[in-house]
Amino acid sequence: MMRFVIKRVVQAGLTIAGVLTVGFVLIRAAGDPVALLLPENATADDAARMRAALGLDLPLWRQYLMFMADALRGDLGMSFRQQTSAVGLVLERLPATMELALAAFAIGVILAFGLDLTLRVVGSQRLRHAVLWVALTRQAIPTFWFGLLMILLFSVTLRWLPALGRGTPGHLILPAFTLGTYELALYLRLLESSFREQETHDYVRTAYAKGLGRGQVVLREMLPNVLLPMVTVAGLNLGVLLGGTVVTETVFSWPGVGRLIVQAVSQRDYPVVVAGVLMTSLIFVALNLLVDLLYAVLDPRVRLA
Amino acid sequence: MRLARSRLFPLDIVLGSALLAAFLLVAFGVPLLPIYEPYEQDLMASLAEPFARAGEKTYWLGADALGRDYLSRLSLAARVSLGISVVAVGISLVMGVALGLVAGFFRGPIEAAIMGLGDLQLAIPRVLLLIASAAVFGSSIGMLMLLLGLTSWVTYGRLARAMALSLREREFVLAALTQGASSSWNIRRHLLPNVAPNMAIIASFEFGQVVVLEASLSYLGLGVQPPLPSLGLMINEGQLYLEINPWISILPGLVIFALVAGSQFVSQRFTPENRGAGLSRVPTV
Repeated sequence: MMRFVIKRVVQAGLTIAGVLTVGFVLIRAAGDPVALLLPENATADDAARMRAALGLDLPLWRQYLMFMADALRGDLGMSFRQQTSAVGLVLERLPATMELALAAFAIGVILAFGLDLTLRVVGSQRLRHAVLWVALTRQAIPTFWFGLLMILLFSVTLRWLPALGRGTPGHLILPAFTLGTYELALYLRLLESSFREQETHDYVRTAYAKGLGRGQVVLREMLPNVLLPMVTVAGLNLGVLLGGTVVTETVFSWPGVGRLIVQAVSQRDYPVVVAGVLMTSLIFVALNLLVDLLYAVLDPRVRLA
Repeated sequence: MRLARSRLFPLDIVLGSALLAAFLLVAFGVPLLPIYEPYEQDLMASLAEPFARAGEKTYWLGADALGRDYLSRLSLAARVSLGISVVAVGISLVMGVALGLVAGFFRGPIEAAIMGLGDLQLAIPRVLLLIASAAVFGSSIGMLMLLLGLTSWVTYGRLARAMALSLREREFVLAALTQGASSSWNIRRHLLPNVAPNMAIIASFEFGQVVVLEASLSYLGLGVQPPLPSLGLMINEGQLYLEINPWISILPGLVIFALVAGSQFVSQRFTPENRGAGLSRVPTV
């Protein structure tokens, strides 16, 4: 077990180093920030002094090492537009994004398991396939357009819910539902393919043969086997979820990291863009590490392999 | 289910083909009509609702804020979005297959480097990677195609490598090698034809996702730039007028849906059942 943990942690560390390197490349590719930062009447001397202060006169490899060292201390540079650290700005917005992501994840997972298991145990197969078709259709609808339709229906036409901003629980409903239905579709289809895979195994036939009812076979025999791989896939899907928040936040003016990134792009505030992207990726890598370790605890085959 | 499978025209194929046909009609049929004028402005017709008349003209699907015929705009935007997505899928397909086959055939450090790059790319959510690189490198149409292509190769690469790993041990490859065939000849003549069908299936699934990604980027203002229309951009512009004329944001979404759902419904039919690859493919936004 210890060997597996160490191996996986080292792997995650390498990935993080790689992600940070991508951030460095992006920042450097964005060009010389001095022109953006200085007032128009600045002299060439001012520009040179500023470059020296930012360390831009050093050779590239030293800039890279400085960037990595700063990043390890939690410093990804200063925002061009606001005189605060880019990481600070992102951290400020993180709770809003987490709130939205968690709510959407909960809606998706709870509804998916509830619907799938209920229909599998008591419902007809036809009904379950109809639900799957709806899920497939939802996946073909871009999230931002789905969000707009929700606003149109529930805010503009019915005037039941607020469309924009964050504050009351009512504000959370539409964005969480918009993103949550996407998660729901994802997990419904995953459950379907996992169950279909399990159905081919002998133990299912044996269970039926010894007289167990459908409810017992599905919930007690198959569900544990379905759950395990779902844990891994859920971890990978968190990337989709985190990416989805960017678009959803923009539609609903939800003050999260995604909206911060999009706004920073329009202001050419590259350190904030890169800090937002890097920190989201780091959360994603960390969660995946957690999921993998959890998986190893649940399934001994993984850590022995 | 068995009944549905045995029928000559299964529901998903019929529905998918109908949606695709509707999309193609809008994209390539509308320019043949006499009303096709995607750039002609008439402020009298600003935000006209569908079938509204202004002066001599009837605006079948209304007009946008600048009074441009919306059906014409939709048609042009449909072709722009389609073109970008097709080229982007082409780029990622070629890149993914080439890198995957090379990695699987040669193994060793080349394989480690290529697959490491792929893992790294997967560690950054695709939308975010696209936003950051579009912000830095700009979003001309060519750059958009390139960025969408470069960020989407990993799916192809992983499967191509996995298949190459087993193919390279097969007798026909070994036989060719013993007779002096070069590695590149083997990759081209022996590996490529064997992975091609699976790669085509992946491409058909990826296509819908790339369409949605392009639309999302354009919606965020990081994709296609005005005055050229794109479906995502039009939804963004329409959001301002949601209370006055909701059709402006509804219609482009319908066009995207027709293309994405159409291609997914049709391509779903070609995924081997039970593999789950099709059903559980991880879309992007």
